[in-house]
Amino acid sequence: MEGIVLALLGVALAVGLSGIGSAIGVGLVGESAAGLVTEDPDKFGQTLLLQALPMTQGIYGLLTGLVIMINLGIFTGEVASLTVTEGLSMLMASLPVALVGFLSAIAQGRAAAAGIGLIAKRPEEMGKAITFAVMVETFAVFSVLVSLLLLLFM
Amino acid sequence: MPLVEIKKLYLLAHNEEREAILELLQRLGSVELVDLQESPEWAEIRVLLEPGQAGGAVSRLEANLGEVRYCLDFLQRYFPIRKNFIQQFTGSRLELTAQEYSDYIASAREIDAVYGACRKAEEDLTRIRNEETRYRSLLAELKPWIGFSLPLEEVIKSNCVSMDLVTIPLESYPALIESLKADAPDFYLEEFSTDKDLAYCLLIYMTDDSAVVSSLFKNAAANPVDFSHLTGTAADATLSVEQRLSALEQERSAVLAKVEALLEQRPLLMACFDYLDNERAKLEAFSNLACTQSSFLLKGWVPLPDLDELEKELRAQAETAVLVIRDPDENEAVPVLMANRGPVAAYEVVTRLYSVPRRDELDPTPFMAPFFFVFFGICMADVGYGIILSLLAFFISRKLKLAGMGKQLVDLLFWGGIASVVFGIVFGGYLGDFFGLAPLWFNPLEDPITMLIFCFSAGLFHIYFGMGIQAYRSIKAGKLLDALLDQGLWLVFLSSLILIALPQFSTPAKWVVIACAVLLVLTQGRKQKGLLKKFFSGLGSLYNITGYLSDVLSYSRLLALSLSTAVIATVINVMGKLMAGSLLGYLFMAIILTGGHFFNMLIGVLGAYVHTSRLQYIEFFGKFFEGGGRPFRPFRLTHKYIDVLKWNRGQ
Amino acid sequence: MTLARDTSFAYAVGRIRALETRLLDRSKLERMIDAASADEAIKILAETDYGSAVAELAAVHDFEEILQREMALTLAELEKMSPQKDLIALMRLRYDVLNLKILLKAKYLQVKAELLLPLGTVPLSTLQAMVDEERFRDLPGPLRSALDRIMEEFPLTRDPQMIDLALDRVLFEQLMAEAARLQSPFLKGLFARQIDLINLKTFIRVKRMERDRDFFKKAVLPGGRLPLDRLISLFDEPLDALHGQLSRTDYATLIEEGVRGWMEKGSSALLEKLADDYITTYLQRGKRSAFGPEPLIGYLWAKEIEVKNIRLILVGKINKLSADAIRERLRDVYL
Repeated sequence: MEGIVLALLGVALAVGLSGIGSAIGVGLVGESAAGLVTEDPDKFGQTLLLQALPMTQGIYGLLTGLVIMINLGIFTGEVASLTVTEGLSMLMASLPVALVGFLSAIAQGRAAAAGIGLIAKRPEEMGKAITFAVMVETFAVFSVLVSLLLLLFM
Repeated sequence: MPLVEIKKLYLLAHNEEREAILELLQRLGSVELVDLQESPEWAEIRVLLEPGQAGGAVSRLEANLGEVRYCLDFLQRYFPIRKNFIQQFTGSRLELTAQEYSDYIASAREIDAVYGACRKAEEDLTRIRNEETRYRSLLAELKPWIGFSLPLEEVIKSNCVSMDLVTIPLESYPALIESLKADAPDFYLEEFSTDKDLAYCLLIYMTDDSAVVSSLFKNAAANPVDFSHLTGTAADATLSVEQRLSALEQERSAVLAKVEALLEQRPLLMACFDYLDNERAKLEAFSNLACTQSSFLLKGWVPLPDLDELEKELRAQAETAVLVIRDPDENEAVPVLMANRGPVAAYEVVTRLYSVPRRDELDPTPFMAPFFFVFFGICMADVGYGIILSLLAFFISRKLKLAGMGKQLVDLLFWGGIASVVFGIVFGGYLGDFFGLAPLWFNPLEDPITMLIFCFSAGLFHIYFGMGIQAYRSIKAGKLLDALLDQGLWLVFLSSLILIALPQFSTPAKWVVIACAVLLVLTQGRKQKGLLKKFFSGLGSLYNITGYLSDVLSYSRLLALSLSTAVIATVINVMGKLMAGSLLGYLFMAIILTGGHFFNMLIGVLGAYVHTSRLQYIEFFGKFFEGGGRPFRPFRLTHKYIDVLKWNRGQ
Repeated sequence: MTLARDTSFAYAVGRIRALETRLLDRSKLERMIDAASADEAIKILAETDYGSAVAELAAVHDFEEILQREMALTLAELEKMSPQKDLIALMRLRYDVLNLKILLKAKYLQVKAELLLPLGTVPLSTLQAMVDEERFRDLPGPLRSALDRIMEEFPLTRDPQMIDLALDRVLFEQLMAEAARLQSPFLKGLFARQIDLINLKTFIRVKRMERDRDFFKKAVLPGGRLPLDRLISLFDEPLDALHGQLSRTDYATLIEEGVRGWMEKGSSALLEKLADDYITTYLQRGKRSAFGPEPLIGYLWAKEIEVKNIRLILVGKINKLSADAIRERLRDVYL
């Protein structure tokens, strides 16, 4: 049964760390956006779109956490019993998305907050502001992919 | 897809028709004007020209525009028109019929009155605000003296006795009394109130002692207060100031009511703003022309398909105009216009957000569009979300009159919804697993490796296709060797590298790989000078293999996004179904399912759009497309505030 | 204490980005220059963000009030949005010193104190009281001791320039110390450049006054990017040596054109303009950074330049200067 504790730690890390990263990232863009909207309320919609970008890491973390929980059978009510090795493997599988999600969300938040400045001056270039921020997300995508593949094949 | 052919246009006509012709060009909106002074022709024709343009008309229009803008800003400040969420992306404009528009312009003279009224109202409001501040501070000053029962006008200085209302800091209060006793012993001091720093007192003293008293005041930092302009007791004065304040409040509402009445004129202002702005643009276009005493020359760019209409209209309007059409020279900065039809047109927005093609490039939109459709579909892959998205996009484009990139974006989402339905059927996503329907092909959740291989294959095809286009361009430009070595060789090399993984092909594939590698080392440096440089440059080019590898790996995002949409949808269903049971439970279930799926769809659309775009920009365009062209910007009517429903001149 | 984390400026920078779009651009200023009269120019100003202030204006000649209020508002707004209040206080220090100079000179030369700017960290009335009573204990340390020294020395020398020099020196010492304390290379760069520009102006001014090298040595401020001993050693050589020696630095055009203008026309106006433009170029990096204090400081400077330009145009219009004469002195805009 001890294995399940480790697996749950994996859930906690995946959801927790990438969630913290997203919170910091989204918060940072939000601050910047609030500054712009203070002066120009009509930019709310456009800035909201940018603010949503660093949110995906949190979602990837949530996704990984949910897959572990499904694997454990938490939703069906029949919680599987795990060995320590099995539990540890699930914990390891959660690490890519936990770590990369955490840091890439913050980095993406910075890029998106810089994009707020771009929108202030040239609202028509919103697409470019989004593209810059999305480049950062590539690495979060890779990490969630590896986390998921590890989980689905173990 | 080739770009629209753009022709160079010269137009020569009499000065009398100048305004009419420019108006026509502005209405047709199919010609981009070129400033002749910046053109190479300028040096040749300069000697023929009359110097100087009438700048007075422009600045008069500028002044009128300034007045209208001021009025609109002023009204916006007090009675703002707020844009709703969608309008923040698309902008909002007032719709007018042609008749209404021309009526408004006919009554443009009324703007002076509106401007005057706005200025007056703003002055009044400022005055009221200033008076209010003054009265408020007077109220605060009076407050400590409420207990003082003598009428304020009776606080006087006579030849014999002087009275002062004075504020004394508490810390110097005792010392002041001591020194008064010593230096001006005949005084009377009464304290009315104190707060945490100051005592508020009436001091009566002999006028002969004035000088002494005022220096004592100064030492003690005591300040005499002057209320001589008020009448009655402090309480009376407070009352009258309060009355005055409420009168001001009433006055303010009266002024605001007047401003509100002015709102009726807002459509007039909006219409006139757009009209004047276009007039100004027309007058400013004069500066692009070259004029002699009686005639003028205009240079511009015109798309070939619009040429016929232009010629016809010109002939009808201006008899003397001479139109000369030429092919652009090799090195001229010709603007670029993309022309895609049907569903593909929607995908122009993706290209445009990257860059407009150069004049000698292909428009990548038609090549990119099918891939965009497919990749977007794989990322969403849900029939339910697809239907909702398409319906939303459909209603938005019906409800809002969109044009340009806004319309293209909404259309793009519409087609994205369709793609999502298609791939939802393929991979069995119907609001996640809500209906438990089987997939047409397989379920990526159960077989992610097949899905990953599918994504990589799709990516590889995408990349090969991009290289193919570059090869085609090279061949067309007569550089067969470049196409063979830079694309052909790499295609063989990469393909055989992959074939090594299959046991039955592995041995021959190995030899092909080695042969290709040698050839690449020998040929990739061919543009370098010096044998050594050629060799090392060729060797270094093998490193590009990592570039192709990371390109292909990048397509794994398709799997990640489609899994993420599907898993979250599944979890929403699980959580929703947990609630089922009681009536309240079903209510909660409905809320969770609706909210959850809508949220998941929004996140899914955002992810699908941005990641699919990225795959086009970095992985696909990188192979054959540079961009950097100058978009075609015709001289035309622009509207900031209004939309004219049907332009019908002469009504 | 060091400067706050750069991301803590996110909100402020977001607001600055929007505020920057409302700065007057070159074409607005050009229209004001081309206006037929001062009244017409004011009317153009009324269409901008200055509109409501202009509405209160009783007469054209009172425009200075509007400009001062705009600066006061800008500083107050920046103070409110900045995550670090002392950053803006640092920028206000300049105005304290400016006011002190005016007040001290007024006191000693028995003239009326004019052009005081209520933009410093200390209220004008307090400053006035301090100068009247010669009690400066409430001012920060270095400033206080400099003022005490002035109080001692001025009655002996009676040289008003000494007040300027002593106060400038202590101001920039203070600013450089603060920049070092905040560990901000950006602020250090700004102040060092301002020191250089002051030193260059002093160089020419002292030369034109035909004072000697020792006087110049006392007048230059330390801490700039140009080494002091090099400047001092150049002092005894003809002016051309200055061009030659500094032609490799980024002050080259400024010296070339500004100094020539000063020599030929006897007015430092062009040099002053070029010096301001130089700082504008340095601060324009604030337009590009998404975080950190640069955009705030840049915007503050942009406002100062804008106010300066409006003043230039209106004064020019009131005195019926030609459009070209005004245009010549117009500072480059930050946008």
